[in-house]
Amino acid sequence: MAISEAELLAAFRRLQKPLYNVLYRWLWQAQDCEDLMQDAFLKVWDQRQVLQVQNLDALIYASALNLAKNRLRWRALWRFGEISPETPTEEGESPGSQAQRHQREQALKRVLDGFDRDSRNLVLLSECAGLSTDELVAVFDWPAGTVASRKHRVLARLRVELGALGFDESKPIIEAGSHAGERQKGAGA
Amino acid sequence: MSEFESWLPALEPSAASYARLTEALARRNRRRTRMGRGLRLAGLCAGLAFASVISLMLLRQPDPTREQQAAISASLELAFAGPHIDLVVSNGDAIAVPVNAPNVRFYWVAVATGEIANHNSSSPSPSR
Repeated sequence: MAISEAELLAAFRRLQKPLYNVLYRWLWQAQDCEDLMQDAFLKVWDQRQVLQVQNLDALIYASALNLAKNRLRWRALWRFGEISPETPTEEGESPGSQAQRHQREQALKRVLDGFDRDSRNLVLLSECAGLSTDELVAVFDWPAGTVASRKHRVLARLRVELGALGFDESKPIIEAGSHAGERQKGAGA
Repeated sequence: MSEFESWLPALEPSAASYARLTEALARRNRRRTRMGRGLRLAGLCAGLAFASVISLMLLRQPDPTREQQAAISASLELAFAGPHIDLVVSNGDAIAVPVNAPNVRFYWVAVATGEIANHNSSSPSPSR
């Protein structure tokens, strides 16, 4: 049965936030993520006659992840150097905490870049989008046992690698006035 | 709640995304309607052209000159295809064209008209 416009828009409302969070951890550019979400939904809309409503969410995730893969390939072809996470500014956030957030994102990007594509998708879909094992089975088209074991392994690895980074949540990385203090010390010497 | 929430905090997408998608869908639907209208128009034009060709073929009057030309061509082709005997052309006139080469006779063969008939005093019989 074909997908109606109302069903697609309902899916957009439902998946907008989790999908954005998944895509952001691939592309690290807010505008690219927005564009890609639009492309993914329009791509699904173009194939609405042959799609089933029951598989809609899985199809949208799979389609968006494929588009993200193509976008990254395109970037690799046309840009030189690495993309640095474009940390979105939050209202009322101090420059110090923004810098800390940026640094965390860079560290996270390095860790995630060390994962293969499927493992990274598995981490992002389960942790950012909150997909259950059944939903992950629908996206990856793997047996449930495979999804569960791979998820377990990959999360354990993520835990270890993030733990090794040793970021302390309570302590800001760049403390206000630290540079000024150093400068004063340098002037005194 | 994810154990990695501090590493993967939930980010908020732009509030305008939904409106952007609805607009894109509406634009796509409009384009499809326009395309459907264009296709219908093209189909109508093609149908009209086809009908005109058919009616022209049916309504065309038989042209005696063209028919005679076709008969002459057919006779000539038949004569050249067969063994080398005297050429017989019916339904036409022939004018002897002077040629310098010996043992070569050259005739202008065409549909019988008054003009050719006037020049035809020395030519072989039209039926031969």
